[in-house]
Amino acid sequence: MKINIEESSGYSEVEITIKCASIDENLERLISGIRLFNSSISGKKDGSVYFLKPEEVLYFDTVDERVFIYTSDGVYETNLKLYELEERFSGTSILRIGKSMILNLLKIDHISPLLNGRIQAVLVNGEKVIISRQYVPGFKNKLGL
Amino acid sequence: MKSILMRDFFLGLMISFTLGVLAVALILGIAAGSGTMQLSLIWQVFILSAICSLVNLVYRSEQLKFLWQSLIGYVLTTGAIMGCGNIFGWYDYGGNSYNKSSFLLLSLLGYSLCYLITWMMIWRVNKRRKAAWNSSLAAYKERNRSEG
Repeated sequence: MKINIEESSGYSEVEITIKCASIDENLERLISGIRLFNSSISGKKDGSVYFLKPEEVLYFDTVDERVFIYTSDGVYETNLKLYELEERFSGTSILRIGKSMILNLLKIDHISPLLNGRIQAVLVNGEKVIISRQYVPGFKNKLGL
Repeated sequence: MKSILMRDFFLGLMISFTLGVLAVALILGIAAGSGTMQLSLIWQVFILSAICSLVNLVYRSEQLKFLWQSLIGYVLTTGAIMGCGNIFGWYDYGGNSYNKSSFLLLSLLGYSLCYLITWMMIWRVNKRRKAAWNSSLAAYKERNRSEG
């Protein structure tokens, strides 16, 4: 893989262009990493605004049409809609798992299949979340199952 | 959710009705040496199948754990089978040539054994699936470690 870097004061924003014959698994991971690197999210907590790295996020959840970001350190509110977050993290380890929830798969400790076609995921902080039946195929596909 | 429950109910009804008719035909063939089945037996099996399919929706519960689902499912289906068997006179079938209480006990033991075997099979399949899925999850996390 060749890496070309053009440095010039004429550029106002960093732009990454990938030229390839086809996108394979390794390239997908690279793109996913770049997307995550470039996607800090702002969240409000106690009247202050914080910028959170995606890898800090456990999951996003909607309560009364308000979207909250759950991390190991606390809960933050974001103005972004769930579908906007889903689009932003498309192709990364952050995946929609229910009508009101998006989960960071890297924060799952272990999973258990449930009899009714759903999956229970136990997170690294001990919290349990349910992957809805509708989103199970996408989840399994992500894990290569 | 409602449509999923309806689908599961009718799917369960279709499966249990087919199995029920086959089981009754088998029992009649073995115990009574009969090659025919009364029409009344078919709708009786249909009613029991409908009740059991309704009870089996307990497995779709999002609140109950697997153990509770199994326990409630077992108690209710056993009750339904014993109750229907008694109401429909299945235990008096063939002119009561068998001792009724022994027949009841035998059917209870037979059903319990089938339930236990099925339960253990589901448990084993789930256990294997859980191990395979967690292994895939670990591999996925390993591949994406740089992200997290």
